[in-house]
Amino acid sequence: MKGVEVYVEGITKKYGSTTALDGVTLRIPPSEITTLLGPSGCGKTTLLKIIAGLEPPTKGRVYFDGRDVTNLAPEKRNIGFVFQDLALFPHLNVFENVAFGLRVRRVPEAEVKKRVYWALDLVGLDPSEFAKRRIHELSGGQQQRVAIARALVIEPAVLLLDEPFAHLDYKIKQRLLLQLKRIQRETGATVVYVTHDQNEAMAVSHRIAVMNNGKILQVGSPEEVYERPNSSFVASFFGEANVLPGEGGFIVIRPERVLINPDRADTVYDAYIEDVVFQGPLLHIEARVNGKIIKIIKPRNGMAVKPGDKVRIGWLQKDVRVVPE
Amino acid sequence: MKLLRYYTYALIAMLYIPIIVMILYSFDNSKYFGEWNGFTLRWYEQLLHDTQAWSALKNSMVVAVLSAVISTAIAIPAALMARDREKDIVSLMIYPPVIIPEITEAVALMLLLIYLGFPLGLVSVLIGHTAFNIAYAYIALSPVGGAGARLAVAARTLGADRFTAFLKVTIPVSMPGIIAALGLTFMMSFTDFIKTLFTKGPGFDTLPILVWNRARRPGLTPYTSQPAIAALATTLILISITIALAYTLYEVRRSEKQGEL
Repeated sequence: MKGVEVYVEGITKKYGSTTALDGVTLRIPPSEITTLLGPSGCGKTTLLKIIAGLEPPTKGRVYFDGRDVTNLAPEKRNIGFVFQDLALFPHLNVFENVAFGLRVRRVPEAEVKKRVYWALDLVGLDPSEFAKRRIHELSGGQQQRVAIARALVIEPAVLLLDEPFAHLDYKIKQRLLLQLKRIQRETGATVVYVTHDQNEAMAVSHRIAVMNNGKILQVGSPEEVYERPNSSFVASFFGEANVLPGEGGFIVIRPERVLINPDRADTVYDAYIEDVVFQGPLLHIEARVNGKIIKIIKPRNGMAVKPGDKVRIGWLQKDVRVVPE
Repeated sequence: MKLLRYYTYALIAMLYIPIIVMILYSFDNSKYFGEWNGFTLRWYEQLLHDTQAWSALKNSMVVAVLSAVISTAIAIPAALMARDREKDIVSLMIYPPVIIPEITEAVALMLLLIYLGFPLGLVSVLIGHTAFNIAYAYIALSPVGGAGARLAVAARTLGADRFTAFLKVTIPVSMPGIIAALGLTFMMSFTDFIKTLFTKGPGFDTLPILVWNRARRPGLTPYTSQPAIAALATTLILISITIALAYTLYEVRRSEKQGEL
């Protein structure tokens, strides 16, 4: 399966007088996982629904592999959509839920069975055990897998996921994220993943588009966006960041780049340790400098600071990023 | 909390005592209420040959079934397809008929029918029942309506067109609501007295109307003796209970199979 390239061009979406999307243009490369990351209300789900054809844009076009699909009904776009609330069919068992897309495409029965079993295997549900189960008999994580299998079985040109793991325990979420990456690798599908959770975004994405207030602020690989945020919003939304007023706007320094009692640093301040939080292998430290809190993250090994300690903190100029706003 | 328990017993007794007394007297081998002359089934045997009762039962059934089916069919699109804002408006408009006193509904209906010169009979009764049953059908449907619409969207992302999504997902998912709406509207119609009285023509009687006709001048014929009326009314209760039981059985089976929606 080869995924399509999705291109949205100048998408604006208005609901009455509120603007959900404000002239968004984004190229989503084929056969990669692109994450739309932003706080709730930033327009990421609206953009996903416009790509799916579930909402018409007020302005702008949507292209799949260069073909204009803006006015195409959702059922004709060959997409897979995993809803936040999953939207599994309660009146059908697991097998029939997954088979639904194949049945409406009038796929022959033998082929239906083969592909449903393939899809259930792919998401790690043993077909012989789960095919006949009722939806309400499954756990949250199992329902999630059925939803993904149901979307994948039709070999969609693009798989769209709207915060699919938001309600799951941390561990199950981590496992499903890894599984999603593997599935994407194996199927070569184009995946658009919507989340407000930066950890999910980092774990799963080839590319991240950070959104706020109906606009895309920055697009890039997780490393690019993390190392070179183009605004204080992106810096603080994607990973932890210290944002300080500086020349030409703000300076951004990541907590792990802050040095404690450095031998050599370009900038040094006197500071008090305010708080030290144990986080397994890491310590999350808060230091007070001229009334301002600086966040610091350090490996626990060999780090002996405690609240009340007087220290010097500083950083290297190469670790500082200047952003205009 | 003993007091509360006795209070509850008293409450239940107040609800059921009149009905139980009536049921008992339907087996009374006497012409009048209040003197127990031994057990008999003769009032029920008499009912078997009571052509008026049979015709009233047929009328009741025809009106109730048609009214239930039509009002539910009309309410389905409103309850299942209206979304968000539209839904709020529909809900706001649909509740008042439920709280308006039935007698005013009945009078309004009668006046309208007379004004339009509409012939009074089966059709006018059916129209009256259906008009108000739409509100009840909508109320019974609306809990499942949201799920039906939401899941139809999911079906469309899987390649189903609007019609297929409605047929294969919305309708089956909404089936508990549809059954509830059919049951509720059937019962509303089957047991209705006031609207029927005001919209029926001469010679068109339903079971509740027949009970009333006989009860207001008792004792003139064997059919209108008090125990005979009690037997007729008891039959009416029996039919209602059977339908309610069938519905409960369906709902229990369904929720065992599908879980709560």
